[in-house]
Amino acid sequence: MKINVFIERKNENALLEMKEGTSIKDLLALLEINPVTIIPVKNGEVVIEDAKLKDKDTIKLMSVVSGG
Amino acid sequence: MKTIRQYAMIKKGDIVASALSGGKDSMSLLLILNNFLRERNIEFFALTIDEGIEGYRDSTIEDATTFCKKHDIPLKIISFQKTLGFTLDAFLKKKKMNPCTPCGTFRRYLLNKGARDFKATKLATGHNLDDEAQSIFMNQIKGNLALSAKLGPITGILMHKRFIPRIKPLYFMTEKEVTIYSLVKQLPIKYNECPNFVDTFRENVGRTLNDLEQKYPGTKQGIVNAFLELLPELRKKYQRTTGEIGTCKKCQEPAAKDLCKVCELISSE
Repeated sequence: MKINVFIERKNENALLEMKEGTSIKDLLALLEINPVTIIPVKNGEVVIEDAKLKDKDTIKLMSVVSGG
Repeated sequence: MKTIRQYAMIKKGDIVASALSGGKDSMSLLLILNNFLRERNIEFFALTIDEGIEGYRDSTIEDATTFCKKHDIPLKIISFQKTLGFTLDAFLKKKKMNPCTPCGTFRRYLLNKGARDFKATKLATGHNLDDEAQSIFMNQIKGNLALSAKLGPITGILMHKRFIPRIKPLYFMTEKEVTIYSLVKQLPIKYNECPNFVDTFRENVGRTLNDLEQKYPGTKQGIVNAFLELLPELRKKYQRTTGEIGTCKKCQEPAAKDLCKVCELISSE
């Protein structure tokens, strides 16, 4: 399945191929992002890290850490 | 609100200046104070410092202004240019140093002066649990406990008659919790990085603490709680730096030495 990810801190978009049944937690592990530093937003809604992903989901990783 | 009550941060008759940068911490703080203080009929206003950082500060001031208008909160804006005679950008062109050093020094100076000029009796800032845990950890690494003695949820009570005591109502909220609050309340916050921002010591410490927090949840809270147990002893030991301080010979503002840090920076050209 394909997941569209926007990483706010880097202002970067990526289209990732993920296995069915993976969660936000797996996505964060893949991207090497510490869950403490982001808030995941799935298709416009704030979700927990255990939320499962579906094909064509859009994930925004909002930055918790402010930059200066 | 629990923190405000627990530490008796604000009393009847106080006038509170809430430092407002336009970021998520200061906007969340102002919204919390807006509810808490209005209910109790306590006077307050927002205080914004315009450092003069091109391409950054203008948009955050716009956000701050819109927000204050919407909630009917008086907003005072103090600029480096009008009070110090130069913008931060102009100052940095002349001096080669980490931009955060003069920026922080000038900003703290003007927040105190501005709060006092507008008759505030307390200055509230949006420092959160992450900020405090980072500061404690940084001072520990540098071995500078005298600096840690100046931390805590309330500071500057006895220091100088021209020094407005500072309160940190978000002291026990993590940065993540503040971000969630600002999202839930739909605060107009955009991710906006200061163009002067460099990979600082604080950022490295913050990253390390976040790694530890992920592995051992409660790390930051633990660091701050342990520190608060030690703080009364630290303040006793370092009374010379936390007790009463002197007056700057040049500008008459509070100063630990003959000159305050602002006059020292300006005159070191």
